[in-house]
Formats: sequence, C-alpha cells, structure tokens
Amino acid sequence: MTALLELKNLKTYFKRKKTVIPAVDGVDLVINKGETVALVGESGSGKSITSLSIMKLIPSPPGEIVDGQIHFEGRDLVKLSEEEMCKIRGNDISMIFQEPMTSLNPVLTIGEQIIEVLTYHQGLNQSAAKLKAIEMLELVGFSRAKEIINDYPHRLSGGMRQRVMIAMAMSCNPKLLIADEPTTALDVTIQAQILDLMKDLSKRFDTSILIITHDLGVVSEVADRVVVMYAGQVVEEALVEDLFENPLHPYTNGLMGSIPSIDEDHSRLVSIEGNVPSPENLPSGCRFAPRCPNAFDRCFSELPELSRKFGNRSVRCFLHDGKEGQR
Amino acid sequence: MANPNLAGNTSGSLDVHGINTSRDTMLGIMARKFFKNKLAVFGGVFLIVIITAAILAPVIAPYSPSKQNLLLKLQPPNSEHWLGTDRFGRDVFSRLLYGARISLLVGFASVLGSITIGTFLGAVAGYVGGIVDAMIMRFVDVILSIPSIFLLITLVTIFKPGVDKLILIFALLGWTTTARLVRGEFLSLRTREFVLASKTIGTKTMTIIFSHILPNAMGPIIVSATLAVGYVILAESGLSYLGLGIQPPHASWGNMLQDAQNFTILLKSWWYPLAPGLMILMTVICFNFVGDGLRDALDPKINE
Repeated sequence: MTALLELKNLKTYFKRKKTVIPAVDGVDLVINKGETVALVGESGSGKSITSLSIMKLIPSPPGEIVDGQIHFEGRDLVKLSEEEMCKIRGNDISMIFQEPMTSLNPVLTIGEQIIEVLTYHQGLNQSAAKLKAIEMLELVGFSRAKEIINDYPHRLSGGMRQRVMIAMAMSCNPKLLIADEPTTALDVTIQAQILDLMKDLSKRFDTSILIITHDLGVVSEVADRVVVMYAGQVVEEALVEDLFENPLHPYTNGLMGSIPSIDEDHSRLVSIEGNVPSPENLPSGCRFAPRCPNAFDRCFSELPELSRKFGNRSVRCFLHDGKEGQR
Repeated sequence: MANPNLAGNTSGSLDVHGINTSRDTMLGIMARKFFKNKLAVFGGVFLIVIITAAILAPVIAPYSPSKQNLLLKLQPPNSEHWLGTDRFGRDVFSRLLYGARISLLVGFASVLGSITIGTFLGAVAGYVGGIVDAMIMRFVDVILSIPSIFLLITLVTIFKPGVDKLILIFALLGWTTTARLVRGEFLSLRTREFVLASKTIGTKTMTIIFSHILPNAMGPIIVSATLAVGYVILAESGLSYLGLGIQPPHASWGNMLQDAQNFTILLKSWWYPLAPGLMILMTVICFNFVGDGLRDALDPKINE
C-alpha cells in the first residue's frame, strides 16, 4: 500500500498572551490509499486540531502549525498558499462534521450548497452540476432527490442532513474524507446507517477515511487501523483487531475498560481516574503518568518515545520498552 | 421531513391570504407571519399607495405644483382644490404628490447608500476581526460621536442644498449604525459550523462573507433599513423646515410645513399645514410598522 497522507512530527500550537498551548505536539500519522484510519482520544486530546491542521483551517491567530510536514500526494500542505489549499479543500480532501444540524447553511437550499462545490471544483455549469447533485443525493440514499434538492436544511432530520453533508463531501471524488465525529449527534440506528454509507462509498470511490471519534464501537465497525491520542501526542497505533485483542498502552487499556458491558453487573461505570492534563502545564514525564495505574519512577521524569513494536504496532510507554523487534 | 401538524395548519391560513403553495418555503413562512400582523399589513398597503402616487404624480396631480394663482390663495379644501391652496395659490394636493417624490427619493436612495456602505464595512470588520475590525469600528465611533443634526446643518450650509447632496450627506452619515449591527451579526455567525463547513469545501473568503453569511444576516439589515427610511424622511423634513433642505419652489413635505409656519395661517388655514404634517407622520409610522412586522417575520425564534 502506498501512503496517501503522511504527517511527520506535526506540531500545532496555540499562542495566548504569554503561554503557549501545544494542542498537537509531534504527531506522526500515515493514511494509505483506500484505508480507514480511526483517530481516538478523549476531548481535548488534539484529535480535531489534527484534522483541522490537515485542512489548514486552524484559526490563526492564535493557532499556528509551528513544525512538521503534511505530505499529501507528494506535496507538503504546510508550505502551500491559501489559494492552493482552496483548490485542495473539497476537491482532494473534504470533511464532514459532528453537528449535521448546524453544518448546513440555513438560508440556502440543499441543491445550491452541493452545486456550489461542483461548479467551483469541477468547472461544471449550473445544469450539469444540478444533475450531478441529484445523482449524489440518490447515491447517499434519497429516493426523492429531485425534490430534496429544492428544500432548505430545516426540513430535513439530523440523519438526512448528515447524508447531505456526505453527498456534498463526496461530490468531487475526494481522495481523503475527514469525518470529525460524524455520528456523535445521531441516534444509534441512524449511526449504523451513516457508517455503512461511509464504508460503502469509500469502497466504491477508493476514498481513504480519517474518522475522528471517541466511540470505540464506531472504531470497531469501520476502521482498519487505530491511532490513539492523548494530550496532543500519539500513544498507540495498531490494526483494529490487534488493538481490541491486546491493547498495549495503559491508556488504551483504560479506554477499553470503561466501555460498559451488559454481562457484568457494575453499580458504577468504570472510568480512568483523573482528567486530561491541561495543555498549559503538562507533566514533565509521560503525559499519562499521573493517571496511570502502572506508573513507576521513570514515568514521572522521562517522556517515552513512540517506538515501533512487533508487527505494525507502535506504542509510547516504558512498560513495553526493550521489547522492540519482538514478533 | 415536514412536520405534518405544521403542514395541516398552514394550508388553511394560506388559502385565506390567497397564496397558493403546498410547500413551506422560507419565504412562504415569512410572508404568512408578516400577513398576520395587521398593523404591518396596514403600513405596507399605505406605503404602496403613497409610493405609487409619488411615481404617478405627473399623471394624478390636477395642477402644476409650482403654478401660482394669487387670487385663489389660502382657499379651504373644495371640489377644485381637494386640499385647498397655499399662500401663493398653489394646489396643496399637487404639491403634496410632488413632495412625496422628493421625500421618498431622498429616503430610499440615501438608505440604499448607507446600508450598502454599512453592510460592507460591518461584514468585513466582523468577519476578519483583529486590527481591521478595530480600525473600522473606531472610525464608526468617531462619526457617531459627532452630534448628527449639527453636522448636517453645517454640511448643508457649506454645500448648496439639493436633492443629490442631501442623499449623499444622509448616506455618508447614516451607515454607522448598520455597520455596528452587521458586525455584531457576523461576529456570532462566523463561528457557526456551516461557515467552517464551507471553508472545508474550498470556498473563498469573499464568497463566504457575501453569499454564505450575509443572507443569514439579511433579517436585521432589512428591518434597520425600513426604520432608517422613516428616520431620513423625518430628518429631511426637519432640514427643509429649517430652510436648509429642499429649496422652493420645489415641493417637499418639510418645506411645505415651513411655508405654513405663520401664525395667521396656522390659525385660519389649518388644512394647509395639516396635509404635509399628516403625511410625514403617517409615512414614518407606517415604515416603523412595516419594520416591526418584518422583524417578527424574519426572526425564526418567533413562532407563527
């Protein structure tokens, strides 16, 4: 497999008056062609900032990509001008969001919004773009696409709007679709529909997907590979089967442990003790050390490296130090 | 999906107003809300009548607005002069019609100008933020800190008063409140998710500002425009009343009032000042009614 997108040591910092907040602190990430990668982590772990950095839509000031590279099809996106990025956004890389209720413009019809993407990137004229928009809406499962196209977003339900968003995002056959918690705001039956739709379309168009979520159920359903983030850094990376079978990092372990199970009878839900450290004063050693049940002295003084383990796994933890190259 | 209850309710009320549409378009809902407000409808009808009369003034007016007939001065309303005559024997009704042309023209044209300037600067300030925002808004503060009526009087005395100059002055002084309003709208709209979504499809900044965010801010802008038209008509009348607005023999509602400010006229020929006075009053009130109605109709938070 060839890499479509490769992040190398990406650092996105937010600068406030005197403090610097390292929201994304040295992230390495590879997405291969046709692959679905899940980016998992708690709120505030830097997942969304990573995805916005790829689109180069970090609000600036105060945000800034201070270091690292984003290789996309042989080009480094960090170095591209805003104008060149506009051509990539929506055409090569597109994005869908968590809140389908607010991510469509309430005063423009569904058709107008999809047609805009098509006329801008594909150079289609109005009538050709309209035909293509109807085709896309049918593709995402609207049987009344010809009527929906003249409707305003307020007439559609959340699931329908998310499908419109997917139709819009997929209309230019992007090579990469970034989905930022696409199912969080939807109820469970609709979640499954949306995930199936995304899987189906990615196969059909050979689109890679970067799905950002904190729902491990979603991960197991769609992802080929999982990247776990904690406090702005990648702590573990593995194929989805490996990760669920044998999580290496104590944080991943904790995430797995906090999934409520119907078989066991807990009076309280299991959770990881403590909170994500505030990015302004990160612990000096391993960032997870203060919450880690297995932490020892070294964890509090040194920051472990993300090191390659057996197979295709990487983990950032001293517990697995010295086991390199094991198979 | 359309809420079936909503659809049920609307078909009934739609028939009442003769709007034949089965779908709830944004405009349909707004029109329905507007038509439910009786005062707004009354204001709208009145304004349409006035505007039509002003446009058709040369056809409707029974006399030339400046034709004097000193033998027939200060006649009370009669079958030949429906609203009587003024102190030069000119037909008050004809002058009222031609006055409406000037007053409404000054009102609409200057508000069009001030809304355009205000919307553009406010939108840029609100969306771009930072130093651009600070500079535009401090400029607004400077203009707002000058008492407008004195500035108006000064400007009008420097430049010879005329319709074009009045429009220009009102437009150049009136945009500040619109700019503030639009900036406020943009500050809250630019953080909405659909703006980020349209960035992710590669939309350029200017397109985002003017074709994605601006339509969302149209409600408050339209309302402030209608209210501003009323204000400008009043201000123009005020200036003309002071003799600094439209110069005789051209008729405007303001200078007709000025012409009538004479104790004997006020005492004996009460119909003469009454006509332009009433027109100013009614027009301004009706613009306010329509503005109120539009505000309610355009605000999605106010239910039908």
